[in-house]
Amino acid sequence: MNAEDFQARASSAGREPINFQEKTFLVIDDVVSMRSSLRTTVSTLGGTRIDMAGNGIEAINRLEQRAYDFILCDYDLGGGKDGQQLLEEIKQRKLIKHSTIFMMVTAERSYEKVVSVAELAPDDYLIKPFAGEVLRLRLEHLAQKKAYFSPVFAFMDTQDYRSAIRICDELLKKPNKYKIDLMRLKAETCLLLGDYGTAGELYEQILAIREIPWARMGLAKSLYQQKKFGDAANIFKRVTEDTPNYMEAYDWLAKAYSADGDEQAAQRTLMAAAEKSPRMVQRRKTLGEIAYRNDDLETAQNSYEAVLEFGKNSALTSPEDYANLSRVFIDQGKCDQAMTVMKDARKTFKNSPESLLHGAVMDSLAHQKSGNTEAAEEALKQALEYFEACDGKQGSVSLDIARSCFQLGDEETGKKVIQDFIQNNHDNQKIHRHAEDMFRKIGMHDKGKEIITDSSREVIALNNQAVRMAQAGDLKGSVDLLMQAVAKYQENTVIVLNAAHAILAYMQTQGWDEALGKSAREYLATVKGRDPDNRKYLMLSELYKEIAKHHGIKI
Amino acid sequence: MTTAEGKRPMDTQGELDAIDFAALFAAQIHDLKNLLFLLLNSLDETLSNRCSGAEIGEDAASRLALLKYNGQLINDKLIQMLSLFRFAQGPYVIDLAYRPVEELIEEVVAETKPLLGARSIAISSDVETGLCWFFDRDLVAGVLNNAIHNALHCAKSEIRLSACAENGFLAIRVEDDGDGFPQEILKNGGSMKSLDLSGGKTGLGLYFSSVCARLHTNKGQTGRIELGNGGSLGGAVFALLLP
Repeated sequence: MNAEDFQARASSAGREPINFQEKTFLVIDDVVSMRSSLRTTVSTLGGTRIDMAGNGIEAINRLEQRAYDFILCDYDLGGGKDGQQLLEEIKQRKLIKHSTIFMMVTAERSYEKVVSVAELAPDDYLIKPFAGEVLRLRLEHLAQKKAYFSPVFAFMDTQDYRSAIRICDELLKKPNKYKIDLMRLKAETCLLLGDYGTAGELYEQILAIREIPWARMGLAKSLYQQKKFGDAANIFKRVTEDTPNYMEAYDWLAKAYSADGDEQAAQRTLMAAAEKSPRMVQRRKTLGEIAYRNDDLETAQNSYEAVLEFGKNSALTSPEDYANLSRVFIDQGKCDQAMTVMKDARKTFKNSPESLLHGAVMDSLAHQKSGNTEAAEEALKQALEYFEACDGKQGSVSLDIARSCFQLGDEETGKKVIQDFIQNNHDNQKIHRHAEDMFRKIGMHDKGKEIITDSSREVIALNNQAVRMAQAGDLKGSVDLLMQAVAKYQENTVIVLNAAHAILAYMQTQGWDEALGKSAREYLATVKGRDPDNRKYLMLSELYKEIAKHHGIKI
Repeated sequence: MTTAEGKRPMDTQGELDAIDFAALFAAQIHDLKNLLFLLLNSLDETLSNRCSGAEIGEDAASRLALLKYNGQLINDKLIQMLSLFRFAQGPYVIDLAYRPVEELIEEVVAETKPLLGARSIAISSDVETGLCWFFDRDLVAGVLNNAIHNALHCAKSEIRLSACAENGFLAIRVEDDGDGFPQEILKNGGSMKSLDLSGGKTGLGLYFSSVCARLHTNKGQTGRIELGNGGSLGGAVFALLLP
């Protein structure tokens, strides 16, 4: 179907009475009387297929079993999750279709309504008390809106963002009541695709019509992505001043300060945000990280303790979070507490390989700090065994292992671990900074810097050589070189993507090659597994589809 | 504070002094709205059972409608108090969204119809086709519902809602064919002066409406309410003007 057909279909989608009898409803509320009252309201509209859930877990169980047309969810779900958190989990796990209408029911509008990202917002809010007739009208209007946007979301679902944008453009040609929503959707999609210039222009256009906080935020995000960190920080700061409860603005402001090199300002920003909404686990993690880098161990300790406290019994914490707290305790000389934390980690994660690995490393560092070299060496030996056995060596554990090795005098192993870690992340500045910090803390600043530079130099040289070959017209040579590089640096996402890119460029001029096509497909699948929102991955997978289509290959 | 039995024990007094009444009232209003929802829903259920054949006389039905009307008046007050409390806590950010005005008016009318009961009052609306505007739907609905409930109190036979764009403002009017606003309301309506906490009628509704209007700003212009008499039906005219 082409864009014109979509346009016709979308504009013809008027509001029609809904036959609620055919529709399925899920009502989520923790209070029994409220639940049955909502059910009554739905049945006065004619609805009969109504399921109920008393909390988030029940709701998710229901959603795993069947698809619903309408979900009515109370914002306040008692203990545990609130309605917004439940919605975010549902959306992230893709438990509802784009056509499902999610209505948040609440006695008072929450602040999130004003500020949430369109993608994670409910379709609408309904303030209690409300009349059944109003619910009917709302659902009908929302169904109409969903129908209008469905062609755009159909392409978004298949990650065909260019086509989604094309449809937005088509729909924007005619004056219509969804104009601002369309501009916002297009701008957010442009951000996703890496077309920051267009996104920025769209937000400017919206701001010229009306001053709206999310549009101001969007503009600043587009500046940030264009690496104009100072300008972005100024706008994020203005948003936090104009709308002090817009929590996402603090996170971005801190990010912009960090990127601009002002870690102290970043920490202050996150501390202000943590005070306003103390339960936000992800923000506390970031704050702990920055405070640790700023050598503010007290703030780091508080933050990581909060992560464990508020993230308890949720998928939000991992053994690494325990290790982060344990590391702070070690630096403070509180070795017993450091080990107790890791004991908790092993217990909480039932001796999972990851918890055993982190536990052994931190134990080894704690033993060293308290002068028990023999126990430290024993624990490190154990840690290295776990480390060898685990694949996907991501995160801080490599740095902790290396630190333990260097401190116990095993420079060779330490260097090897750092080398692998840097080579697999050769262009990730944040990881380089973390590695530098680790060396600084153990008094090996200069030596460490040398190891880091040497490690990344090899990968950079290899990558540049492949680029030069491609530029000189030797596309096949470039492909071969990068495919060898992938074999060596499997964990390096940039190299894997560059190899896929080289293959696609080669096939674009030389025609389809079954074996190479298969490799490209595998490379893309690898990256998708690690980082599904990676922009280069999204761009390349579109390119792959295009080339395959051009050569009549079925995807 | 003393009671008939004498002084209260100090610890009780201390506890009471420590209560943050503003926060307590806000939380309780939240609960009251939930309870009101349950109450109004059971009323709706009773009314709809009647439609489906169960026995309730005409008389009972109109009394139920009156109950519903009074329930809505309570809700108006709760909305006004809670909103003013939130505004006062500041800085309050309104939820500006670009919306069809027609949908808003349609909802407000749908909410009013069940309140009419046996009273022979006609409610009509006239909205400029395709008119969309930036406004905070919940606040504006609160303002309009309050105006309509006032009109219901005064109207003899007709209430008219209209919406159009006027000189860069969205103008929404609620008119009735009653006796119109008294002079002192025309003079002070919507200002702090009209808030008389000692009398029976506080004027809170008009004050709330005026604050909601003023929270809508755009390019140096500010929203307002205008009260008048006459209009197309000869009675009171309440106008909400948003930039």
